[in-house]
This record gives sequence, structure tokens and C-alpha cells, in this order.
Amino acid sequence: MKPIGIWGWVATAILFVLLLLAPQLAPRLHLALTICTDVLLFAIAAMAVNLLLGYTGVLPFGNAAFFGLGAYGAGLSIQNFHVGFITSLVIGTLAGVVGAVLIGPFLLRRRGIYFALLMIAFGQVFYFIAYRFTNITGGEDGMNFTRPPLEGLGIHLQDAGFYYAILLIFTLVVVGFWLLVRSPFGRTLVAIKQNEVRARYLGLNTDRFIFVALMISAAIEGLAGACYGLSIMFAYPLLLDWHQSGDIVLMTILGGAGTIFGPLVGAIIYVIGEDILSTALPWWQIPLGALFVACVLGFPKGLLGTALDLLPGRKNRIEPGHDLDFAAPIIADRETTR
Amino acid sequence: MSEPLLRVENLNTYYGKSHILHDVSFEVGKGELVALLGLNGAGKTTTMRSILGLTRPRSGQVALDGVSVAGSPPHRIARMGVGYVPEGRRMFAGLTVLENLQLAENGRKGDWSIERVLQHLPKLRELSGRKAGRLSGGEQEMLAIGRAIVSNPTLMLIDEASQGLAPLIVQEVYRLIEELKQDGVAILLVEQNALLALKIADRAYVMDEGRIVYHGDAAALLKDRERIADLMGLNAGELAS
Repeated sequence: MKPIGIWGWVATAILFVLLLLAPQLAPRLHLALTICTDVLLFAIAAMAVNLLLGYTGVLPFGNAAFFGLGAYGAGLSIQNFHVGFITSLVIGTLAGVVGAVLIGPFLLRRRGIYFALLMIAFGQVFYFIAYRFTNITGGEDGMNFTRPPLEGLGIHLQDAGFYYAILLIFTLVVVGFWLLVRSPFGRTLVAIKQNEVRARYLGLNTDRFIFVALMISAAIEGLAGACYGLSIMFAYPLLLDWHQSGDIVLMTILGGAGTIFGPLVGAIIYVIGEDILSTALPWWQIPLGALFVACVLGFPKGLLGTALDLLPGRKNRIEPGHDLDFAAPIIADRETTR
Repeated sequence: MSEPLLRVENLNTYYGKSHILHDVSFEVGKGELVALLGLNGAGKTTTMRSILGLTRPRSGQVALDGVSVAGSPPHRIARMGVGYVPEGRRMFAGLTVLENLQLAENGRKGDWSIERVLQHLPKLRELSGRKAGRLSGGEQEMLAIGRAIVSNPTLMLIDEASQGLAPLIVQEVYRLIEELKQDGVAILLVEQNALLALKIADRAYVMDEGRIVYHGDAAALLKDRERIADLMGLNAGELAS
């Protein structure tokens, strides 16, 4: 991966200054601060998708299962055990990981579209569990809970305070993600994305790498879901639903899978677009859908991915895209991807 | 005679319904350089893929040092000491030269470290920070071989190392292959360019339409050009290299 250079650092610095000033800037743009919080939450969720879609080459079309498990994990632990703010987030994160450990072994048997479909199916299992077990989850009505105070300090984080807490979490996830994709592990994932068969004949147990990536992704997704639960102080079955998965995948692709800040760009456009359009138009999904279609057809690398390509000196950037071995008949690949 | 390093017995491989390999049997001894010759479509690459577990043979045996590996996943076979240099080189274009090597080394330490490979291939050291997709064909072939070496294989499968390379580069690649052989690495060298491979090989097999049609001493075959031409389905004139 190319060092991002001085302008990359400048752009990142400007971005974080804007994010820090958001509580002051948002009212002037007629945006509620909760929308800014949502942007960061969904940016975290989309980064989880990005790790699998943009860096490993598998489509987690059921990621909301982990997102919802995070929200329920946080909610149930607050309701039943009266845990603090950070503990509830940790439990939500772990709930996502547990979900991945349960379904991962089944998902790993398939690749491509079959992986995506199988993941939707398993995601829906969690949806129906939340829907059916009314006495624990509140069923379709969902469950209310209060945002617990911060451990030790006893402070209740509200409004701007909560926004800054989420911004801190977002920053930590970005830094962790950046380090991860540059690590040997991250480079191996990129190799698997480019050509899994090739990675296998070099002696890499690709199943194991994808499994670990899935668990990391589920942890990030669970964390995002737990933050979302604390943000709206509510958890409901639709958070686990495949529509929710679709929204998060859409944000990732819109912004640019395979770039660090693509998910944030996608979340900004999607969340703010939804907010503005849904108050102005009853059929607000249509323009957003059109944007998505335009994006997939015109900018397959997403808005940020395409913008980065237009920068001087990056024109001939070599993409870690997928390619095939000459000596790899398609039938043979199907037999070996197992 | 002791157990050969690689023993392939009655291998039958199919792509869907088409029967590609018909009872293919051969051996590669420890430290031996064996050429597997044949025209395009003869089944050479499929044979390699079957050995590596990339294509699962329907019947037959593949044994490495006496241990049966038919049906094992590719990563396990690779970890048993089989290095593969695929046709058309096939690097991870988005990763740098060094990253490609590190990926292949992957914790396996042995005689061949990345450092030692770079000593043998000084060109790669100069280019170690460059994306593999930006290398020339010859540089990529060097990297493909280097990548296979850093995994410290006891057996290397090399597919069409000379393909698409300028004659001078081919010489360089072949010099590297000979060095490996002197180092005690057994090599199965797949080639369409029969004369080139026979010059450095100990023994040779010739394949046609998924069958082994000839087996013999490489030096002897090299002297019998008409025989080669006949086996490879070429005119004697076409052989001149």
C-alpha cells in the first residue's frame, strides 16, 4: 500500500478538525447532533463490512446480525445487570464476536455469492430469535433501556458529551483499522482477496485467515451496534434484519470499499441524505437508490476510491483486485474452494 | 531403491465430465530434476494442479516422501515442502516484492531466508519496495521462483518458466533453476520448449493427450532430435531453438 503522503495527512487532519467541531457546526447546517452521531456509528459499522468486502474479498451480507447482537448485548446487560457505559460496549462487542464464532464455521465452507446468501440466512435466524423470545427481548416492540453512567466518574454522557465519546471510539477504530490493514495479517487478507487459490498453494490456510477477519469484523460491528443501542436507548429486531445489512453494505460501496475513509464518506452521504430527503420527499429511497446504481455502474471503486484515483500520481495505482490464474479452469476452482 | 520424493500413480483427473489425465504415473527422486514435456493441452499443468491439490484427482495416488497427499487441501501440501511456480508467474500485483516474499515465507524458516534469496537475486533487492504488478516479465519470473524458494521446499514444481521471456532472461532463469538443483532441491520442470529443459534435466517424461507417452534419460533423448520431434508432434526443423 502506498504511503498516503503529506496531502493525505493534511486531509485527515482537516477531517478530524471538522468532526471535532461538528457539535458547533451542525446547528448552522440545520442538522441535529444525533445525525452526526449516527454518521460516526454507521461509519464504524461500515468499516467492519469494509474489512471483509474491501480487504478480504468476501461479502458480509448479514453483518447486521452482529450489529443487532451488539445493541441487544449492550441493552440486555444494562437492563439485567446494571453495568456501566464502557462495560455495556464491551459486552456488545463480545456479543458480535460470539455470533461470528457460531456462524463462521458454516460460512467458511462457501465463497462469493453463496457466502453472502448463507450469511443472510444465518442473520435472519438471529432476527427471528429476537422476534420470538418476547419475554427476554420484548419481541417486535423491542426493549427500552437507559444510557448508563460512565464507570468510576458517574457522569451521564448526553448530547455533545455522547458525541465526543463516539468520536473517540471512531478514532480508535480508524487507527486500529489502519494498523491492521498494514500489518502482515492485513497484507495476507489483501492477497486472499486478490487470489485465494494462489494464497493456498503458498501454504496459507485461507479459511483460518478469513475466520479471524470475520471475528474482527464482527467485533467492530458489535461495537457499532452497542454504540447505536446506547445512542437511541433502544434495541429492536429490525436492527438484525437483512435490510439493515443492506444499508451498511450500501454505505461501504457508496463511499469506497478498500479505502480507510470510504465507509465514513458513505455513512455521511447515506445518513445525512436520508435525513434531508426523508423530510422533503415521501419517496426518498428512490434518489438514494439511483445514486447507488450510478455509483456501482460509474464508480465501482466508490466515491472516495474514484476521487483518490483522480489525484496526480495515483493514476497508475495497482489495485488489489481479484484476478485469475491462467491455469485455473473455473470448474477446477469450484472444486477446490470447497 | 528408497522411496522417491514424489510418486504419482495412476492419476485420473476430470474437469466436469471431461477426462483430462489418464492413468498418469511418474516419479521424482530426491534432488532430481525431471522434465515433464508435451504440447499445449497435453495435461502438464493439470498434472501439477493435481499434485498440489488445486484440482482434486478422481482416482490415483500422490505420495510425498511416502506420505499420501491426494485429497489434501493445497495449503497443507504446500506446507509439506512443495513450492509452486505457476505458469504466467502470477504475483500478488497489489503487494510489493518484499511483501510477496514475506507472504510465502510465512514463518517457515530454513536454509533459504528472504535475505539469502535476495543475495541470489540482487535485482529483486533493488525492486523490493515496488509493487509486483509493475515488474517486467523476467523480474516477475524471478520473484515467482524466489517466492517458491523462501518456503524452503524439498520439491519445486515449475510451470513454463521460459514462457514469454526474452532468450537472455530465460538463460538467467535456467541458471537459477540449476543452482537450486545443486542445492539439493528436487524439481519437476514443465516445459513446451523441450530442448531447453532436456539440457538441464536428469530424466524426462513426455505427455500427450493426458497420457505419459515416453519416459527416459534426458541426455539420451536430447541427442535423438527426431525422437523428440516425433513425441512432441513437431517437424524436426521446428525444434531448433
